[in-house]
Amino acid sequence: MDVQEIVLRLHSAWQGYGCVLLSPRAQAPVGPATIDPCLFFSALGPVPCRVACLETVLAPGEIAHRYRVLLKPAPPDGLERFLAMLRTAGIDLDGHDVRLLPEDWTSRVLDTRGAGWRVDVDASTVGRFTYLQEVGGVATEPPSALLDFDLGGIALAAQGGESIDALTWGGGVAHGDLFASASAEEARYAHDVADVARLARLLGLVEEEARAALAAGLSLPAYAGALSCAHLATVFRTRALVREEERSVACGRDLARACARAYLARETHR
Amino acid sequence: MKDLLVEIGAEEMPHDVAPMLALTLASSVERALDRAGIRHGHAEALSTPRRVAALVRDLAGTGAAPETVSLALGETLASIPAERRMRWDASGAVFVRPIRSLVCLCGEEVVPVALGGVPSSREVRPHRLAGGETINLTRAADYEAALAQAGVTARAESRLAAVRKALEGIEHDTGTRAMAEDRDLAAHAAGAEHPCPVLCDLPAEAAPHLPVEVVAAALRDGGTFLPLALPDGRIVKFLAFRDGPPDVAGSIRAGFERAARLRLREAHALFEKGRVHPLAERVRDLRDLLDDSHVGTLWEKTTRVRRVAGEIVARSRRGESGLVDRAAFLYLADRATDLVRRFPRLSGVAGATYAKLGGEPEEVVAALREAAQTRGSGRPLPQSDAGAVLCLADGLDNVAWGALGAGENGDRESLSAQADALIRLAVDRRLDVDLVEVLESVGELYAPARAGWVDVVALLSGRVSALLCEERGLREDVVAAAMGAGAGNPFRALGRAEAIAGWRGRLEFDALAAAFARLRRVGAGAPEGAFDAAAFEGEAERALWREYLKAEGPVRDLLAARNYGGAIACLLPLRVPIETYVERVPLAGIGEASRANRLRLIASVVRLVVCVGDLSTLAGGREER
Repeated sequence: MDVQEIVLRLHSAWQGYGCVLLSPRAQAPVGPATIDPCLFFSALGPVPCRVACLETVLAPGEIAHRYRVLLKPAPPDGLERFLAMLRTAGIDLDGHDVRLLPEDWTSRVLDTRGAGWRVDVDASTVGRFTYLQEVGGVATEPPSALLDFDLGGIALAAQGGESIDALTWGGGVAHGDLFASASAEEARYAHDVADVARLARLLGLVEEEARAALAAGLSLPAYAGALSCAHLATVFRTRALVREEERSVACGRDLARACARAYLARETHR
Repeated sequence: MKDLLVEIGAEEMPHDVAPMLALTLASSVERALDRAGIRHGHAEALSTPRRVAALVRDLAGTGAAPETVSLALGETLASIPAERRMRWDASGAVFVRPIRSLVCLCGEEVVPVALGGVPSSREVRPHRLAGGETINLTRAADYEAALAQAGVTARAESRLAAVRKALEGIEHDTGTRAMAEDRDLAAHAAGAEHPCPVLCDLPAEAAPHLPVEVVAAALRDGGTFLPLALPDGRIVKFLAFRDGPPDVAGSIRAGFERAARLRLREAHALFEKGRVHPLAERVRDLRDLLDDSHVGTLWEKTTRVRRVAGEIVARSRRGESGLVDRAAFLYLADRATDLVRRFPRLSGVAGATYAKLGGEPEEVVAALREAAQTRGSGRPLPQSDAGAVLCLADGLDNVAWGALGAGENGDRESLSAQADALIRLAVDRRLDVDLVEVLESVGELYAPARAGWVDVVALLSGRVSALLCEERGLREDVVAAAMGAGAGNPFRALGRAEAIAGWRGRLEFDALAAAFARLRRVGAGAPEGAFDAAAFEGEAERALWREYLKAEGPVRDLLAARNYGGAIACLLPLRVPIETYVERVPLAGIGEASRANRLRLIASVVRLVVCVGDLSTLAGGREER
C-alpha cells in the first residue's frame, strides 16, 4: 500500500468517524514539536470537535508527513481506534509486535504538554497518542486526544521497506523523488547557509509582528509567529547555539500562551 | 475462607510505575481490612503494564461479606497515591494512565466499589491484542489462571524469570553472550504482559566497518534489542521480545531485523560523519553545549576536569601529565557529535574510537575508553594510571559541583553514590591523593558557590567513614580514629584504619590509647608556639620529651612510606612517659609560663600521635575519660 493510499484510507475512515478534514492552516513551518493552528486552537475550550489534518513536518534534513487527528472530548476507546486505524493503513497487527510505550509529549515552545504513548511496530515508531493536558499553558477542559500517525513509519511497516526515500508515494512515484532534494536543501540551509546573526535579528522582528497581531486580537497570525520561533529554535539547535535556541523557545512560548489566552477570550465573548 | 481480588485495569502504564503501584494497592487494601477488623491472610501484589492488582488470601468470618468489604475499602482506592498523574476525560478523575476497568471480587461475589468513575465488576480485560474476549471471572482465586488463559502473565517475577530463562537458553544454544545488564532484562519483563523471545540474525553486511560498541549501542537504543556477541566480540545475533504469543510465522523476526538494519544504517552514517573532523576540533563546540546539570557548559566542565586531573597527577605522581591532560581535554568532545546525540550510550566510547582513528596516543585512547566503561556503578575499574586519574577527576568534579548546589544533581542520594564511586576508585587503584586538598587547590573554579564548601568536605569524609565501615567491615571507633588523622585521602585512611584494627586488642596498644586519651584531655587548650626544652623542670617532663624526640623522625618516615603498623609500633614507647607525665606533672598551681610550656609539649605529642590516628576516640580511650 503506497502512502497516498494510506492517506485516502485514513481520510475515509476519519470522515466516517465524523471528523472535519482540514488542510493545514499554518503560515509558518510546523516541526516535530509543534502542531498546526487548526489543532492547537481546537484543543482549547469546551466545545466538542473532531478534526483530521495531513501535515508536512519540517526538520533540518527531514521532511516528514504526519496525519494528525484531534478528538475532543477524548473517546474512551481512543487507543483501540488508533490501532484500528493502523489496520486500516495496511498493518497486520497480529503479524507484528505492537507496543504502546508510555511517553509524555511536551512542546516547550508551545507550552503544551500531554501524557500518552509512543506507538511502535516491531521496534519502529509509527505514531503517538497523547491526552493533551495543557495547551498554550492553559489546562484543557476537557482533555483532547491527539492522534499522530507517522505516515513514513506506517508505510515502512506496511510495505516492509528499509528506506523512506524508496517508499512509493503514489502513482509509481517514490517518496525520494518528491522530497529527497527538498530535505537535502533544508539540511544544507540549516547546517551551512543560514546566517544565524541575521536569524537572531529576525527573531526580534517575528516577535514584534506577532505582538502587533495580538494587540489587534488576532490569535491566528500571532500563532504563525510562535511557529516561526520554533523553526528558528530548530536551526539554532542544529548549529548548537544554545542561548539563541533558548531565546527562541522562550519567545515562542510567550507568544503561544498569549495566543491561547486571546483565543479563549474571544470564544468566551462570542 | 474467601480470597479478595482488587484489580485496577488501565491503559499501558510506565513500566517502572506499575510494580510500585501494585505494592501500594496491596498494602492499602490490607490496612483497610485491618482497620475494619476483617481477619485475612497474606496479600500479594501483581502487576503488568495494563493492570495492578492486590490478591488477599483467606478473608474469614462474617467480615468477608461483600457489603462489609465494600465499606472497609471505602475511600481507600481513591486515595492510593500514584506518580505522574494525568486526566483523560471531564470527570476530573486522575491516575497514572486512564482507568478502564475495576475488578473487585470477594470469593465469587462482586464487591460494590468505584474508582475514577468506573464501577467494579467481574470483567477482566485480556491481553490487548492476543487475548480474545473479556474474561468473566467467577472467583477471585482463579485470577492468575484466567489471565494466563488470556495471554497474560500476571506476576512480574514470573515474567522476569521467563526472560532470564529464554536468554540463558539462547546464549547456550548460540554460543553467544548477551551485552545486557540486569536492568535491561527487568525492563523487558516489566514492559510486556507476556514477553516472548524472538531470536534475530544480524548479517555482517548490516554493519560494515562499524565498531562493535557502536553496533551494540545502536541495537540497545531504547532498550529494544539485546545484542548477542560471539567469544571474539562480533555481534551476529540479537534478542528481542514481542508482547504476545510466539512468532510462529517469522514476520515479527523479519520486522525486528528490518528495524535493526535501519538503525545500524543510521548509526553508520552518523559515525562516518563524525570522522570528518578530528575529535580535538569538536572541543570548541562544547562551549555551546550545556552540561548535565544545565547550569554550566561542557567546555567549563572540561576546563575544571583538566585542572583537577592535573592536580591529582602532581600530588599522586600517577599518570604522565601531558597524556592525562590530553585525555581530559578530549573526554567530552564526542558529546558534540551527532552520533552521541542520537545514541547517548555511546558517550565516551565514541570519543575513544574517534581518538584512536585520529592517531591519538595509545594511553590517551585507553584512558578515554576506561573512563567510558567506568561510568555507572558496578563497572570495571580503569586499569591505566591515566584512566584512573581521569575518572577520579571527573567524579570529584561531579561531587563538588553537585554538593555545591551548582547543578541540578543536588540530591543527597545521588551525590553519595557518586562520592562512593570515586572513593572506591581511589582506594582500589591505590591513588595516594588528598581529595579535599585537590579541590582546595582549584577552589577558584568553584568560587560562585564556595558557601557550600563545608558540605563537600563533610560529604566526602562522611562517605569515606561509611564505606570503611560498611564495605571493609571495620569498627566504627577504629574508623573514627583513622579519620582523626584526616579524611581527604581515602587510600591512606584505609591504611591507617587497617593498621589500627590490627593493633587493637593488644594490651600495649590499648594502654597507649588510654594514656593518650588522658593526655589529650588534660592538654586541651594549648597555646600556639614551640615548647622550650631548657625550661623543663622534672624527670617526667624530660622523659616524655626524650621519647617524643626518639619517635618523631621514624614515625614521620614510616607514615610517608604508608607503613602505619610500623608507625604505631614506634609510638608504643610513649605510653609509660605519657602515663607518668599525666600522673606527676601538675598543670595547675604553677606559673603561667611553665604551664604554657607544658601544654605545648603535650600538644606536640598529641600532633605526632594523631598523624597515625586519633587514638582517644577508641572505645578503650573513651572509657578513661
